[in-house]
Amino acid sequence: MSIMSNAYMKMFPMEAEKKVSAGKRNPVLEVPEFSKAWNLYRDTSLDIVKRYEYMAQCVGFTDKDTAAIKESKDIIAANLKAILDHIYYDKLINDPWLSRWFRDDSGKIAKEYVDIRRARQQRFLLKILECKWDEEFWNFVRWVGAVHVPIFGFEDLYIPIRLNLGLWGYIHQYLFNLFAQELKNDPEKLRRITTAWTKLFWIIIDIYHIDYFGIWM
Amino acid sequence: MKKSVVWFEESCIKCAMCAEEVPEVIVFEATAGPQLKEGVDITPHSEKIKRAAQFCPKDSIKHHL
Repeated sequence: MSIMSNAYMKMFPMEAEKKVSAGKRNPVLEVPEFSKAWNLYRDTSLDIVKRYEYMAQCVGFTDKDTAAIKESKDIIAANLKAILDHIYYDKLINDPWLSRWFRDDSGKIAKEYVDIRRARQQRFLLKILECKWDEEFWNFVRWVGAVHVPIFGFEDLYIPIRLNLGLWGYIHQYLFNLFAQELKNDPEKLRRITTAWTKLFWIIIDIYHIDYFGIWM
Repeated sequence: MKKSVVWFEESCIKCAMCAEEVPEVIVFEATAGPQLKEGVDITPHSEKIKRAAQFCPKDSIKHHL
């Protein structure tokens, strides 16, 4: 055994284990858990509505949560400009990592481009507030994620997943502070709305990132 | 019968969202910005056009639909 193959075997000890010879029947297809998991994966990776339904079931997102999101519309609508200004002009263009995507060739913040990105985020929030959890909406969420993956779009638009989470984190933080401020005299409503938005954020983050991951993840 | 009309005002910042919302009617050109596709009957797409107008950040899409 060569030095390299020895080192390889130490690195990946499973590779050195005795193998079951090829040609024997593989029992995996007879395992009910495997079939169930495979069917679930197949359905949720092909059918975006099933993916949503599965995720909604996982996080317990129900019609009551949709009603709570609708309850928050007035608060968000009245503060939409402030929310977007905060995310884009206070946070993103000042964030040492995220601001790189908003600079021109000379390194200065490209104001017009920031405005365009801000407008796109505004559309995203408005579509969320329509509360239509249909195929068109979830395909839109998936599409917005996919255009930030280099194999689908422009390499310049590639945003690493950690920075997407940073952006969603900024939105989450600002929204929840806003709700806490606006609903300080109605703790039950505050609980309803923040619970619903938390669940919805998880579903959106899941679907947004479908195309970021290998199909086995 | 009222004729359906759509046009874009100069305040447009060329975000291209309208072309994404109504690709059947609007095409986006990098320098010229959003343009109406030639020869397309816009009437069947009036709801989508109105929605695109709602999302327009500069209120640049005007219409009589």
